[in-house]
Amino acid sequence: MEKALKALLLQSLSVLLLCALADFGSGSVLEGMKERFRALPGLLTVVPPLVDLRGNIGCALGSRLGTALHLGTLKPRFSRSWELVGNALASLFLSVVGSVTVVLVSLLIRGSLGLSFHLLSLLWIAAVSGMLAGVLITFLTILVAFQAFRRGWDPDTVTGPVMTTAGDIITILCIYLAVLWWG
Amino acid sequence: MRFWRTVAESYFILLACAIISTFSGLLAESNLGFLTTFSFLLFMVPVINDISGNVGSILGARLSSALHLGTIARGQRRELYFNLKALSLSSLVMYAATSLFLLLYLLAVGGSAKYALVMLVSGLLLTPAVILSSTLLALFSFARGLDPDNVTGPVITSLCDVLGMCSLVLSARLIL
Repeated sequence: MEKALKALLLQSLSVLLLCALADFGSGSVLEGMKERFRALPGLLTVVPPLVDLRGNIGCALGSRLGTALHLGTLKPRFSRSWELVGNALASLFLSVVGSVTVVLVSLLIRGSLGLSFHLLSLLWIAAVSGMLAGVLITFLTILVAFQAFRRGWDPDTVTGPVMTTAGDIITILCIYLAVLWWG
Repeated sequence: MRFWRTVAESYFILLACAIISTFSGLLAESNLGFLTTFSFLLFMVPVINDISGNVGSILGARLSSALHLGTIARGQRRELYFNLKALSLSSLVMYAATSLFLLLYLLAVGGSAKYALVMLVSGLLLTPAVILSSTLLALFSFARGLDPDNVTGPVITSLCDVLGMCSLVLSARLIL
């Protein structure tokens, strides 16, 4: 096998394998929520868009922090600098407002296909899980970007895959918590 | 102000991607009876979606860098074929490895080995679909002058959610 191909395979496979192992964790939570999906029509419809939304927000935050760290406009420590606080607030805001609009849009699509759903409980689940997961993911992304940068790894290559995978587990767990809270 | 610019720029692309993923959720829910009758099917959803999403976005990012650098241009197919070969191989190896892992787990808990086969077959169905769609998306968005780094990543992961759910339902219906 050519050398370049080998190197690329080694890099991509090691990241992919780590992520896949973690995904078995999110899979077991979904499997455990089975009965809830049957009891609450519309819940399973909003899970992929919510999970996707959080992965994208984490990725984008990681990539903005990576750029700021490389440019030197941000130092890798927790501080009150606007570069850090502004970015963190933007991703928190997107997480809550994004979740609610995403659920509204998904339910609109669902409704236009003539399928039933429970609006209030799903909006509540979107808002609560958006808040919970938003805080956790924002904090974790900052932590991962800082640690990667301090160790001399490129935050751009590390935060993306790490945050989409960690985002999956955190989001699914937060949705489950919100569902349990609603009753 | 930076805050509102970030929010406004991200909001619409996030919403567009969420609309694509909604179809993955709708597909799952319309097969809910089937997915919950058999155990382990919901369990596979994040694994399958994540592998294909990662493979698709790595391929998309690599192709967009190559397009920007000019190493993929008319008449020059080497770099393109190299990336297609590498990522198809990664994808196949990943599905083989995770199916094997699932098989070992099934043997340990006394489940049916058919579920590992479902995972393998959906991986085999999914790989060409993911490679083809992210290549087309990277080429198309570059031709349109969109920055593939901002657009293709989120769109590919959403698209892979839908493709992943399709292939899982298809292979489960074929095998179980």
